[in-house]
Amino acid sequence: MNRSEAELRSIARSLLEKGVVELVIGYESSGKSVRPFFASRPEEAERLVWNPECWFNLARYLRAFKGRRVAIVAKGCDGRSVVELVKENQVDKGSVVVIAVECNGVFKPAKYGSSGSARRVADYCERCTTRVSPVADYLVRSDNQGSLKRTSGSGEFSKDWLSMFQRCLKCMACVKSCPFCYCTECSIEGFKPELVHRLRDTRELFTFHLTRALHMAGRCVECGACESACPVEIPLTRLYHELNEWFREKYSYIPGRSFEEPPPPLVFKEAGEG
Amino acid sequence: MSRMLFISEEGLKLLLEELVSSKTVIAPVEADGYFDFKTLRHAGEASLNYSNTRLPPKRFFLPQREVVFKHGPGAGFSQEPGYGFEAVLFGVRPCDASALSILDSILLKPPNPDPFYESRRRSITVVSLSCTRPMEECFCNVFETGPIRGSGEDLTLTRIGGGFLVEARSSKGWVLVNGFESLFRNADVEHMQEYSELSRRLTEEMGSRVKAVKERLVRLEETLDEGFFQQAAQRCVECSLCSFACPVCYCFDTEDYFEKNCYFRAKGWDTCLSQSFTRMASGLDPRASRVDRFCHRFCHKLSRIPLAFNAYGCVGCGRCVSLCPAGIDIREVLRRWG
Repeated sequence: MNRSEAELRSIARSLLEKGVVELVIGYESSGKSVRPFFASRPEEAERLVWNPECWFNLARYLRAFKGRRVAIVAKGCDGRSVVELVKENQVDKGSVVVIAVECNGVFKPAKYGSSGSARRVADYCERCTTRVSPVADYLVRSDNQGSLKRTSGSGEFSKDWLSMFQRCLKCMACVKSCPFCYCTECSIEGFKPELVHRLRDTRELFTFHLTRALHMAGRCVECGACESACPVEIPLTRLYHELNEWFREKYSYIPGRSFEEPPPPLVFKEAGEG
Repeated sequence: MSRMLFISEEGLKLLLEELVSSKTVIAPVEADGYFDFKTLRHAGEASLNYSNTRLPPKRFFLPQREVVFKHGPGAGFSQEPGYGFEAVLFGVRPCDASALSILDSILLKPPNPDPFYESRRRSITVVSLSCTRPMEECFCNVFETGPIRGSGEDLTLTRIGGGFLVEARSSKGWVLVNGFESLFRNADVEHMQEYSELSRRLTEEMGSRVKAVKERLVRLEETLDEGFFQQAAQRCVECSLCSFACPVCYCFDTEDYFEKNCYFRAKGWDTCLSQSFTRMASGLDPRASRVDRFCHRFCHKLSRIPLAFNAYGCVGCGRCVSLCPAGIDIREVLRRWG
């Protein structure tokens, strides 16, 4: 156990002991990797871990606990999700205690049957500018002072989205891992009307992915959970990053940066509309 | 065990080349650090140095989406025949091949076998390649679906020094062997010694992982530990990844649509973890909560399929364990109830 992990555990334990929260949402070890963990008893705080395997965005679970007092272990991007979700009325600001952990980037999970063994920081983390959550009730500093390598621009990558989408299994792991996909019925699941015919052909996949991309523009915090959850490695975060860049140029808005800035779609006025 | 044959490394290369020139050959191909089944353009594309393919070969028998019939003015009513192309599926791991024999007992059960699945099973020859390096998440030994020998394959290859041991497991397997007789010879004593040595090593290596006791597992539904399942279900994000990546999961949905003056009915993968799968047309949902659906998946695989078909609905390939974004692990259920 490292120092930051010890600090995290003691914060969680005391929150549970004092009854400040009924649950701490964090990560626990699952052998080779880590997985989400809900600590509800003080002694369970000892199971919490914090390391570069913690790629999942725990803010995704907050909507299930709306109105209840919970604490969340939050990386920079997770914290930004909390801010954005509060602004979208999905999370009550007062009921969430944020235990911010300083993040130097996470690894993409090693998937089944992968031939490469070298682990490296996910490329979406290289684009990250928020190592610490903008909202924090507690702050756990990182053990090592490693810095994030930032790449300027998007670098070289294939933009052949159609062929990448053709790999898509429609397993919904991207949607279901995303803190911002809280629609009670997704466009791909809906039957009345059927917006996307799931069983028709690949054109429908394009409809689904573009619908999702447009919904993510100016909201996505680029945590990369969708991309890491994807079994066929579609680099979704790259797509949302480009949309976010466009959104930032147009509205100077960065999702999850602060509580004060209202999301542009909520205050948007057409020309001449007062 | 039937008569064992031997084919040299060189011989296998020739065999693949011959096959590729005469029919469709589907084999694991490496791309971006992963292995996926692809139709070979030339024999050299195939990779034999893989632990397992990222996704199972299920889709060649149960495609993610297929039209089952169409009808419309002028077009009449026509049942789309499955695509019955002759193909060789090469390099399937024994666990994934065993999944096919489980699917056979479910989908080919009289009196109403699935004609689409049946035609594909008939026309595709499955050649398996034994595992010699099981991954950390593998537990095929539990269900006796590997690592060396499964149950749904037509031909089983096992890599030993200098080549491969070959066992024909079905008439389709014998057809393939007989078509290229000159490449095969009878295995000798040293080959068999090496085979049993490999088998012993793998049994030892995988022996202590998890176990499955049928008498206990078939009672899983009555003995469900609510707490355990509730905790795990709390993590579940309800995507369909585990089902879609599973070589055995076969639940499907149908959809009707209208295109080019014709009505189509398509059939495709669905998952029991999704509410839209369990909810009925009337609105009634027999498994309305996530915990219900979550328990159902494990009960179906480990208790109901064994009761009805005398085989587990899991082959221990470990894909769901490795891919689940929430770290849900079927081995934990086996450790508790197995």
